[in-house]
Formats: sequence, C-alpha cells, structure tokens
Amino acid sequence: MDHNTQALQVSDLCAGYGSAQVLFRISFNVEQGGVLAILGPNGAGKSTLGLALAGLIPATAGTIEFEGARLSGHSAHQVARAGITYIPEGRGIFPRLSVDDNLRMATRRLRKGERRAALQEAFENFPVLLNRKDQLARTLSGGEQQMLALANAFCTESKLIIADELSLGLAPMIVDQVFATLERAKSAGTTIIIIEQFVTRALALADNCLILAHGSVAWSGTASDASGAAARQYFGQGVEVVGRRSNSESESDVDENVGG
Amino acid sequence: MLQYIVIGVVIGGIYAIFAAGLITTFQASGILNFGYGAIAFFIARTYYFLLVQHQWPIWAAALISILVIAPAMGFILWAALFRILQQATTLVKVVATIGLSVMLPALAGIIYGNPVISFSPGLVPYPVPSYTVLGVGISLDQINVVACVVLILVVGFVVVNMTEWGLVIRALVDSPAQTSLTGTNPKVAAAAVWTIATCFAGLAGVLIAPILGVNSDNYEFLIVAAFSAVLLARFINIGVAILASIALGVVSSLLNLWLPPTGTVSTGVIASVPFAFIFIFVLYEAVRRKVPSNPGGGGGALDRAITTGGAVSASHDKAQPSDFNTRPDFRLSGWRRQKRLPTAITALVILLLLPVLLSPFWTGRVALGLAFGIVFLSLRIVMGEGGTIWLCQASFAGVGAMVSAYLITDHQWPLIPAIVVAALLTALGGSILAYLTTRLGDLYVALVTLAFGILVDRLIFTIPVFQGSLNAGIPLVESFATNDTTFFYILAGLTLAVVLFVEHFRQSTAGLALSATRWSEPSSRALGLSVVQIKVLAACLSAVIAAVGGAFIALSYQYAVPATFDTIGALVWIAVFVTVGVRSTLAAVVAGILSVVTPAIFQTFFPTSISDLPPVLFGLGAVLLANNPEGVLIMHAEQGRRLIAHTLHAGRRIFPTVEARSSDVVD
Repeated sequence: MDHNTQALQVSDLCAGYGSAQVLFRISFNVEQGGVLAILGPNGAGKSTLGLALAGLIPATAGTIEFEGARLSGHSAHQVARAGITYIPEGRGIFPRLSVDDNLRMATRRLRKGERRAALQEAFENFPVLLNRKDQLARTLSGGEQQMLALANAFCTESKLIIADELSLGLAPMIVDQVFATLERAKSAGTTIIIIEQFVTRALALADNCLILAHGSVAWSGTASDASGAAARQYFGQGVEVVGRRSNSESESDVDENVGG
Repeated sequence: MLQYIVIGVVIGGIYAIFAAGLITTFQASGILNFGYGAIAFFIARTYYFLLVQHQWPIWAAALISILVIAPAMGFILWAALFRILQQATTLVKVVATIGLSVMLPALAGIIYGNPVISFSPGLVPYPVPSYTVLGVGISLDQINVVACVVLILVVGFVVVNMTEWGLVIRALVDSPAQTSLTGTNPKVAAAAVWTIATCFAGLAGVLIAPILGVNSDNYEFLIVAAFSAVLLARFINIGVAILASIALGVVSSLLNLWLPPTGTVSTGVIASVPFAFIFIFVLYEAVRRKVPSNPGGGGGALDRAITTGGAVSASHDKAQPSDFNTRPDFRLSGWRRQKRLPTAITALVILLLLPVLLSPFWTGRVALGLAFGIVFLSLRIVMGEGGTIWLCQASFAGVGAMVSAYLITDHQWPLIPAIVVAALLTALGGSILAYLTTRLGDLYVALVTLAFGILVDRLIFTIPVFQGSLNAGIPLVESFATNDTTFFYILAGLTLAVVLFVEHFRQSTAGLALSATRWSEPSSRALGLSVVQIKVLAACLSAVIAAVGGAFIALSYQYAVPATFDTIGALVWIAVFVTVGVRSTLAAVVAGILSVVTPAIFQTFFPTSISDLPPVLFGLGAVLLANNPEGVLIMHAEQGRRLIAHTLHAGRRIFPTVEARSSDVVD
C-alpha cells in the first residue's frame, strides 16, 4: 500500500446512533484524485458512513486519516476545515438563507479577495444560480437546490467531496447535469466519494467501488468488476458478506486497498 | 385613552424584549425556555442587590448585572444545560427549563436574601423625571423601555441581516449541522446566541422592576404572556412577535379603561388576556390545520438525522419522540419485577409505622405529603404513562379542593358526595381539554395547559365564592377522623387504593394502549386504537385523581384557598415529581411526601437563610433530568442494582459455581 497516494484511509471504523451500532469495522482507502462509489441497499449504512466520515456522528472505534492526519474524533467543522466537503442526502443547503447567503456561508473561511473570486466563479459555473441570487434556497427547484449544494462544495476548492445520494428525487436531465459536474471535479483532480443508489451512473464515474450490507463491507474492488459479477451477485442472489463483525478471520478477505 | 395606550406600549415593550429572546434561543436550539422569566428575575434581583442593598451607582450596578453577570449566566447555562438539552425530547426540554424557573428564584433568595420588593428603581435615578407629550405624562423609565425595544429592533436587524456574524446566526438557526459542514463551529455561535439572549432577559428584568417590583411570580407571568406573542410569530418572526407584544400590551391596558374599575372579575379578565390568547390561538390552529406538529427550531432534517432519536422522530407524526426515556419501560427488567412487591410491602410497612414513630406534627406533614402524592399519582398517568406535558394539574386539584370545600361549608354537603361532584367537574374539564389538545404537538400541549391553568386561576378562582379562607376540614374531622393519626391512616388507605388503581390501569388494556399511543400514534391507529379515546380517558382519570388529591390537601390544611393551587407556583410540583421519578408509581408517592416534608425539615432544623434550599434542589433535579430522564429514585435504584450485581459478581468470581455462570449468561 502506497501511503503517499492515499487521500483517505479508513480502518476498522465503527459508528452508529447512541447505543445502536450501524457500522461494523469498515476499512477502505481512497487514492488522491480517485473516485470511490459506495453502494448498497437501503439500511446498509451508506449514509451513516458518510455522516461518520464528515464527523457529524462520532466514530466509536477505528480510525479515519485524511492526507496523513487523523480525523476520527474531530468534530464536523474541523473535518470541513481539513478540506472535506460533505453534501448530505436531501440537499446540503441552508433552505431559509438566500442563494447568495448560502454561497457566502460556504466561502466564509476564505480571505476577502479569494472569497469574492470564489463567489464569482460559482455563479459562472452554475449560471442558473445567478438569476436566483436573492431567492431563498428552499424556493428553488430540486435540481437547482442540488446545483447550489454542488456550488457550495466547489467554490471552496474541496480536496475531498463526499456526495450522498445527489440524484435522489431529481429528473433524469438534472441527474445528467449533476454527474457532469462531478466529472468536471474529477477532471480537476478532486477526490470524490459518491454514495448512490443509481448504480450504473455511479460506477461509470467511479474508479473503485465499495458495497455495504448490514453495516459491513460486503464487497470491494474496481468499478469495472463491480458492474459485473459482484454487483449481480449482490443485487440478485444476495451476497456472501465478507468481513462481518462475527467473523474476524474473514476480515483479511476484504480488499482494503480499494483505492489502489 | 392615550395614557392607557402609552402604558400598554410600555408593558408590550417588555413582552417584546422577552419574546425576541425566546424566539432567538428557540430558533437556535429548539428550546422554548420556560425559565426565561426566572433568569430575568435573577438579574433584576442582582441589580437591586447591588443598587439598593449595597448602594452602588446605577451605571455600575447595571453594567455588572446586565453586561457581566447576565452574559456569564447565559454562557454557563448554555454549557451546563442548554447544550445538552438541544438533543433531548420536548418533554425533557420543557421540564428541565421549568426546573430552572423553580431553582433560580430560590437561589436568588439564598444569595441575596428574601425581602418583599414591591418597588425597585430602574435605570433612572429617583425621583424619576416625567415629561408631558401630547398631554400624556410619560416617565423616563417608560421612555427607557420603548427606547430599548427600538434599539433591540434596529441593532438586531442590522446585526442579523448585514453582518458576517448575523449570517452565521441565521445559518445556525437554519441548521447547526449544515453550519458545521461549512467549517464554522456551531457551538460558538449557539453559546453567543444564549449569552446575548440572557442579556436581553436581564435588561427586560431591570426595566420592568420599577413597574412590577422584583417578584419572581410576576416575572413568570410576564414570560407566559410573552409566549402568546411567540406563538403568533409562529416561533420564527421576531418582528411579528414585537408587534404582537405591543398589541397585547395595549389591548390589556385599554380593557383597564373600558371595564368597570373595581371588581375581581375585571382584574381577572384583564390579567387573562395573553393567556386567553394562547388558548384560543392554539385551538384555532388545531382546528384549521387539523394536525399542527411541533414548531421547527434547532435545525432541519440533517440535524434530526444525527441525533440519537433521529430514526424514531422520522417515523413519528410529531417532530420528536414524546418521552422522558428512549425506551419503553412496560417490560420491566427481571430484577425490577422480582423486587417490586417486596419493595412496595416494605414501603407500606414503614409508612404505617410512621404515626407511632413520629410526633403528631410530623405525622400531619406526612399526611399532607400523601395528599400531594395522590395529585402526583394523577401526573403519573398523564405525564409518566401518557408522555404528555400537562401543566394544569394544580388547577384540577384546586377545583377539587375549592368546589368540595364550597359544598361542604356553604351547603353542608357530606364530604364524599362533595368530592364526587368536584371530581366529576374536573373529569369533564380534563376530558374536554384532552379532546381539544389530542392532535397538538407536545410543546403546544404544554403551552395550552399552562394557559388553561392560569385562566382557571384568574377567572374561576377569582369568583367571590372561592375567595377567602373556606373551612373545609371540620366536617371530616367531626365525622370519622377524630385526630391526626386517624386522618393519616385514612389518607394512607386512600393513597394505597389510588396506587393500586394506577398500577392496575397501567397493566390494563387501556394502559397498554396509552403506552402504545405515546410511542407511536400512527402505529397505534394502524392497530385500530382510538388515540383520542385513550388520551381523553387518561386525562379524565388523571383529573379525577387530582381533584381527590386536591380535596384532601385542603382537608389536611383545614382550609382551601386558591393560592395553594396557583398554576405558576405549582410548577415546583412538576419539578419535584420529575426529580424523584416520573415513571414510577412509588416515586410519585415519595415525591408527594418529599415536597411537603423537605421544606418542613429545612424550616424546622436549618437556619432561615437556607430555607429556600428545597426548591433549589427540586429545580436542580428537574434540570438534571437532561442527563437522567428517569429521575433520581430510578437512577439510584439502578445504581444500587448495579452495585449489588457487581458485588455478587465479584463473589462469584472468587467462588465460581455452575449456577453462577449460568445466571451470568442469563443476565
């Protein structure tokens, strides 16, 4: 494993809500500039994984390292300051703030000059938002809200974007725009984790794939392999869960070096 | 008329400052602070202490109390309480802040002394200058209030809408979790909001002191009145709240002009305006919207998703799960089930031996405590089992006391029929109130029942027949309770009967149905349960028990006066009840006894300077509910159980046996 190329390293991560544990010893890596798709059925723990990576719920065990620095145990605002942007499921925006205020919040840690430039760039990249600048975010259409969420992420030059169910509830045409935006980010060298139920779209974008089931890693490997046998096995006939909490010996079967 | 409008604007201005603080903190954390009036009182009392008792100059007293102690208090309360409460259910939030409202005035009494302060200087030296504008006399104190409201409005608008700091606060109000995702620490912003809001409370407290004096009950009334403006603003819009506050102040003041100048009815009606408004507004909302849920505040979907109860709340038709605890307790653990009967029998034997062991005075105190215990048992049904925040139980107890006392003394009715009639009246009142509030969210129910209680205080208990001291105890003493010991045993028997009834009800089909509706109303409906029927039944039974308890409280005192059952004063009942344990029947009885015996112990054996300590402890207990939702009795019982289990386990480790190992597995 080449640590220099790894942006994110997650080892034996456990997390949940209060006494209810949801994630059991999740391990994976994401390389710099790589795209990892996290797939799985409802209740598999995908969004919980996103929340734990973002620091919104605490990791009860295991470690999260980003660019060599340990992030587990840090709160969400510290994780964000490290350059990780999490776009939560159901629009990562402030619904009762205007579009402009949303972008100002996203860029408030930049210097004055940088901030002005970032805002200008956001409106250039997402021209639909310019016309809605003074409109409350909650009054935007679903697609526009998702564009605003993406604009929030891009205008801060995030090093890692974790996008949770970006396509949820959007029209196919809007989904195309969302994925096109993610493609642009990928081309620009941003590391991306995409949590999706749109399997084919996600795998088309991703380099690697992690499939979760019952809060554990059920399968991991390259995206091209995932679209074949593993995905069919998982979504069709059920999956032989590898690395479950009750079977510590089989954890070695998990390909930890997803990114590599 | 103009004079009355000016007075109304001043009173409304005070409501407005309170309402602005309440909305800001509610939006930032989802907590409607029932202790806000107590905070204002504490700061005003501090100001009076420095200014009058220590003769500090006005500027120094104001600076220290409003700009040093108030923000420090706000920050400490946020760090110790509100920060934790943010994640709690509505019930815990309400009860914990009620604990604050009970604790702070008593704490002020201990720190600063307890003189009756009917007048306190404001921010202007005495004699206060007065000016005539358009033929109307306006004092500088009144001008100060209006100026502060205008200042808060203007500065608040500029800060919130035009500064970076305001942007962060607005973002925090929208979603603390989303705020943190932008790299901003939401805790710093929340702490700032609570600190500033406490300064508002302090300022309002000092401004109102020359008008109302420094009296904690008056402050509490003001804050409940401000709730009506908060409601009209739908917990969001500070501008609407300020306008509503001023309108309420003016309407109340004009009623002073229009209604007959004398008479208790006029006084009651005028004082009832804000509470009647709460009552009517919420019920109108209930009828119009069918199912008004809890108001927003404290964040959006993402914030709910990352709380422990997020999954529960998502499936609930109210915004939050309505409980003190995060798990149902109708399946008692094996240890508790096995030990319940011996514990109950031991408690009963000790209780029955008390008249032998104690002097007649203390026997009388315990008897009075048992009567309070009966009222707390009524809360056990509606709050402990039903999970509803019911803040008017003192009114039902009061109706039980006042009506039965009236029938016994004025109409020479025998005791039992008098109590039955009083209980039937409360049953009717409780059922109607439950029917009207069934569809409301927890916070609305708390506000409506509080307003209902205050309306009963102001409109019903001010009727001439209920005024003065009615001698309610004599008929009972003459007929079958010839001395304190006999009365004690009658009350002990009655308490035991109510305990058995409550336990039977809990385990009955109706009790289980009540538990079911508490955990999930949609699921209960899906099972074919009538949520309305169950809630009405619980409220009806609860009201009847409260009335019986109230009648016996009056009998214990030998007289019935409305002040005993004052809704605001009785918030301490809620504090005691939840402190000892809201979800245990035995705890309800213990709470009743403690509520009477503890103050008596302090008054008898301790210096007067700390006689206010029991309310501080009860209030603190309710505040600590944020950490221990089941109350101290259950908490200590649980700790004792763990200690015993640990000791036994240690013994088994030294002498391991097959049985021990197998029981460990079961455990």
